[in-house]
Amino acid sequence: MPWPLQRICWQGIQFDHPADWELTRFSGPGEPGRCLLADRYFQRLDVRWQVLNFAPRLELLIEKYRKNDTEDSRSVPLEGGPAPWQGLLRRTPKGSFIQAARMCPQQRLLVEATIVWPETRQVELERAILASIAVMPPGPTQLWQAMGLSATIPGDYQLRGVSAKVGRIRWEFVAGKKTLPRIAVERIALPEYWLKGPLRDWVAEELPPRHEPQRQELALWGNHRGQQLISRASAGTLAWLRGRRRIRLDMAWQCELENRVYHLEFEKISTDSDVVLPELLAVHCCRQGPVSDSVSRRELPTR
Amino acid sequence: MKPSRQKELHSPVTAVTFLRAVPYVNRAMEITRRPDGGALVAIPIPRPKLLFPPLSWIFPVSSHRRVELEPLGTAVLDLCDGRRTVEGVIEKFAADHKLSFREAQLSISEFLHQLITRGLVAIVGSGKGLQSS
Repeated sequence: MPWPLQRICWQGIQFDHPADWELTRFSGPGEPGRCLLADRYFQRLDVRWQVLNFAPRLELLIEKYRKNDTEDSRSVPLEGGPAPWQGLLRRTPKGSFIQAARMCPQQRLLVEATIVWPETRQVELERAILASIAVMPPGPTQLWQAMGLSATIPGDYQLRGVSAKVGRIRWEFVAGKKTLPRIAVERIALPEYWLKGPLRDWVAEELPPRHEPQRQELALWGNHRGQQLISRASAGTLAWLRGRRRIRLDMAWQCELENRVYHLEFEKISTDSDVVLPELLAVHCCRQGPVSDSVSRRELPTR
Repeated sequence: MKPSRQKELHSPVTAVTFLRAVPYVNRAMEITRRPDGGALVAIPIPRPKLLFPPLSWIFPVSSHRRVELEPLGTAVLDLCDGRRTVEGVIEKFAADHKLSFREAQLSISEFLHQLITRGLVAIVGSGKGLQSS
């Protein structure tokens, strides 16, 4: 394949895209699904998806796309696209773009894709992108992969928050409707900027107020030496009477290959004095360029 | 200035125009390097017209505006050598710090905007929204 492709897995949808198209906009929790990718100069790929309570007629949707026809931009039916995609190809003086849609009947999901070709249209690449757009089957785990971060999260956890500040990507997941138990995964670029001191001190500084550190020790994540910190905080008077507290585990390590710091948080309310990360949780680091299959899984902390 | 020209200068800069523009550092500024890689930059500022002695003795005004830069900021300022385009600055910064182009673009565009506001850098390019060189 002439183009190195990368894969995005976001809110139950996965698709491939050229490595130089980067995610610029994405849907947050509770929003209709969307991923918008752009190269250096132009928006290139827009994928939207939503659950419908009815089976729509795609012909009507295509007809709606066609209503945007003007004298300068006439649309023709998209031919040769991978089944079951249907859509239009529109040529304008500044380039061409396709609008296509498909229905995933099992999940009752309508997926729409727009691919922009400011210069020459690459039909093979277009087909490869459309063919790669798929619904991820539900299972005991769910892969989340975007913005340079890749993590396998237990399937009962849902996205609760996304933060994408400069060089600092953070996803937060909760199981059910309550705020705890909670998993947060963070990937931090420019460690020479964020880490003013050793990783050990940084992990302790990242603790929120009212959390009392209980134990801090060296831990391994794959081949990386990291730091693990267990802390506790009050979960309210009623919980205190029942002997329950908020217990939190922070794990951080630096991946030299990626030049990134990874930070994991797991917090729950429990009577236990110790906490371990969920068995199914995995964060994939040591990736260079296009996504490889290398996965580094959590190992037991060294005592 | 003709209205059309004025309108063109105030129209939003497109991504392509901005990336192809060239950032120049203010030649009048003085840079004092620090051992940690950061720098203290002093930019001369014009003296207010009405501030002459003895008023200037009572209300002393600094002749320079001082800006403190962290090591990363100094690295970006050093990349603005008048030869690289904004795109070139972003590419070099991204390569040096193992960032993706987009990650570097977001931080550097914002930082360049701050440098322009404080008078450390001027962007020269041609096209809508930018002063032609």
